[in-house]
Amino acid sequence: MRYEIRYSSLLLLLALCLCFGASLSGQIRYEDFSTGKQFLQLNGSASFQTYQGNAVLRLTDGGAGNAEAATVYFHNTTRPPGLIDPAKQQVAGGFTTWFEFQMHNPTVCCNPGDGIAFIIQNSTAVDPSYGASGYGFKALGAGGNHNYPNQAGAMGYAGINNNLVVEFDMVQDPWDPTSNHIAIQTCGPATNTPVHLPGKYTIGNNSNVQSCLLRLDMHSIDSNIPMLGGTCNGSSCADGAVHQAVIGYTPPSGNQPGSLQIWLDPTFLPGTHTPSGVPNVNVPYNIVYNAQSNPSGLNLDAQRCSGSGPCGYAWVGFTASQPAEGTAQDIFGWEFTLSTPAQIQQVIQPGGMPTVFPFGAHEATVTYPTGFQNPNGIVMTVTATPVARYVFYHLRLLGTQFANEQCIAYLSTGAGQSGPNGTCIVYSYTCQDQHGNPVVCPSEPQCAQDPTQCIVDTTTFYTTDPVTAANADYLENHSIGANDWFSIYTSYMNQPIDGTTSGKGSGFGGGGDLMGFFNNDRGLPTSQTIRKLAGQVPGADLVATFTPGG
Amino acid sequence: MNCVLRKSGVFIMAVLMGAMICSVGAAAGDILYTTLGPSGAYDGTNGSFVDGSNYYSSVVADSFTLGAGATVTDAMLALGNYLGSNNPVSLYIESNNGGVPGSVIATLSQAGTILPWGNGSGGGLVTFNCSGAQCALAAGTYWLVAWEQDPNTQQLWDNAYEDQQGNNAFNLNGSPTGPWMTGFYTANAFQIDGIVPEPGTLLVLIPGLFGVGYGLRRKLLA
Repeated sequence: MRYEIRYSSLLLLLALCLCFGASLSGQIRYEDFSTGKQFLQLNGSASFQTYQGNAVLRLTDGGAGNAEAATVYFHNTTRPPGLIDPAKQQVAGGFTTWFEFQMHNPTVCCNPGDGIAFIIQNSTAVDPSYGASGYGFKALGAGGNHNYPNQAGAMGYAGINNNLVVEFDMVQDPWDPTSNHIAIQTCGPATNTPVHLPGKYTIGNNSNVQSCLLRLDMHSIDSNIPMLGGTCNGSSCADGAVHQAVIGYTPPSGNQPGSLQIWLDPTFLPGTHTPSGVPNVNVPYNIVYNAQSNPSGLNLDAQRCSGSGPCGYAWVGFTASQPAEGTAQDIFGWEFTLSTPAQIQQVIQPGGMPTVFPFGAHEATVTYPTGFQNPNGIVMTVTATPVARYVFYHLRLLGTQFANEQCIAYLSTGAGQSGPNGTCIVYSYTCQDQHGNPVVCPSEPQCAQDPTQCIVDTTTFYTTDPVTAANADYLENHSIGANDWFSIYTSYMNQPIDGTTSGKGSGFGGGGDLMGFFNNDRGLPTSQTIRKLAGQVPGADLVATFTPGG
Repeated sequence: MNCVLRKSGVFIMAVLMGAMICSVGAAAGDILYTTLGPSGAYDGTNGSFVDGSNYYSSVVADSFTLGAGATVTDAMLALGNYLGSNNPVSLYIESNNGGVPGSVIATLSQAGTILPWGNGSGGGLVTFNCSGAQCALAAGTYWLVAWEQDPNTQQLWDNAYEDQQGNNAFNLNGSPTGPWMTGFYTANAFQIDGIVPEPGTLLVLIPGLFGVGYGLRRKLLA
């Protein structure tokens, strides 16, 4: 794996944070599947396995003569299921997901399969006539139900309602145009099927299974792709190649229609998961259902929606199936990044232990100095807000002492691309007590005298901006939304792939004026600075910046 | 004469004890434990599913602690009928087995019907009655376990007042005795009502019990 060195520590941090995770929306990052297992609901044949030294998510095992189906959803399995599931993702506002997979160890036979699919679902029912079962995050489509006939090719999602899948299919079933294709399948809120062609087909006991190819449009399917699975030659079969897929959804905006884009094994911008080429599939799509104007949308969960802009939540994950002639189908890594503001809450960890806020392709980390204790269980909430770079410059930097800087554009923060000027992330920090009441985030007043007693803030991201240790900066303000920025920059790392900027502060919204900007700007004596440090406000923004050409 | 006096004493003690028990019984309605707020308030906007096998097969348990021995008369749960049919919920008080529900101590019976969950009400407070010797509990920690046996019913057990935190346990196996997943999360909304003998009552009751026992012993030996 390309990121083993860097992510060995990240996974440790991820595990630490997930142990105390309170809110999950937007925090999907699995560089492998050695940790965070409790946040994946496994149904059917799905399991965690080790393959060639990697901890993988195995959807089907490749056993001959053993039809299987699997679904896997991002969901906190350690909490009782409730009306509001914080693991559902705000898909209506746009997202980018990347994952790496391989089909291998195929049954030495004719056409080992079937394939895998990425699924977005807010299911309320399944159609049992297909052999599907379950409900909600336990929904399992047809493909491996031994009590039903005609399970081959059902892909693990046939029979589940109210979902959209992007399937990677390696077997030609009667309803498939080819034996190797990707396709977008949805019948809106109705039951989904893997059928692409016109006509009626049989899955399970249902002989009236019809096409759910998006809008019945052949632009929604592409067979001109690399070979997905293994290839058999007489008495032996070769493993399939390792593939990487990126799926991006951009919601409608103004007169612009929404779009759904799929890349398979694209050329990536160096060191990123951001495709640089043309997508294999690029179709207009709006994921929000409307009976009259958009029947191919989904009925999304709006329990947590408020304000303006597209909003709706759903579970995201994978499905797969194998017929009697199976093949092992593994997911090696997975990132899911929202294009909209995402919020994560964590209990602040004791001094020296990082509190991590992962948002998919980027994350923020706060580490209090050694000796800090959080006896009252104060919770820190970080809201990551994507903002166009030019908007941030004109609204937040222009007219300040940092007008010669730009915020760093984070890649993979919107539909696979970051836009012409890039998208930055502003992290807003607030704190709450155990009852959810706002409190001032704990400060470390000794920071002004002893740098080892400062709070360390870090952000990690993909970027193609020419950031170096010499031109990087990291800004904090005194209250959320304010432009009274001061620098808390201490270091920048770019090893080996993506950048990490870090800063040290003595709290949020009240200090950390290590570079002396506070005094220099205001001409205040030190005593007044100390008073300012003591008089914190409940929150602050942090943003990574750099000086172009600097 | 002594024998008469002793018999009279035993009789008087028995009458006193009966009076005490009757008077204590009349005091039913003491709140033994609650996650409800003033006037039975709770968070009716969210909660945990308690549902049958056509949904999640979710069995939910919340722990509660009694500071002193007591007799439970009823439990009130904030419940709403969310989907499907509306069959009654089976409710149990179970022992604490190392931080998870253990064995069933008492079975409570639902009185009345669970109201629909919608309209922001979260349904309403539903009473589950407890009767018999099974309802007498010693001081300690217990679990209130809610199980929906009907496959087609999905109930929602609302969250506690101001989303206060508590020890939760649940499983998705439709089993009221586990195995359990546990965590410290938002508690569910419930109240345990019952009788706690007052200290003054105990001061009379306990010597009386000794007296009755002593009297009976003497009578048997005579």
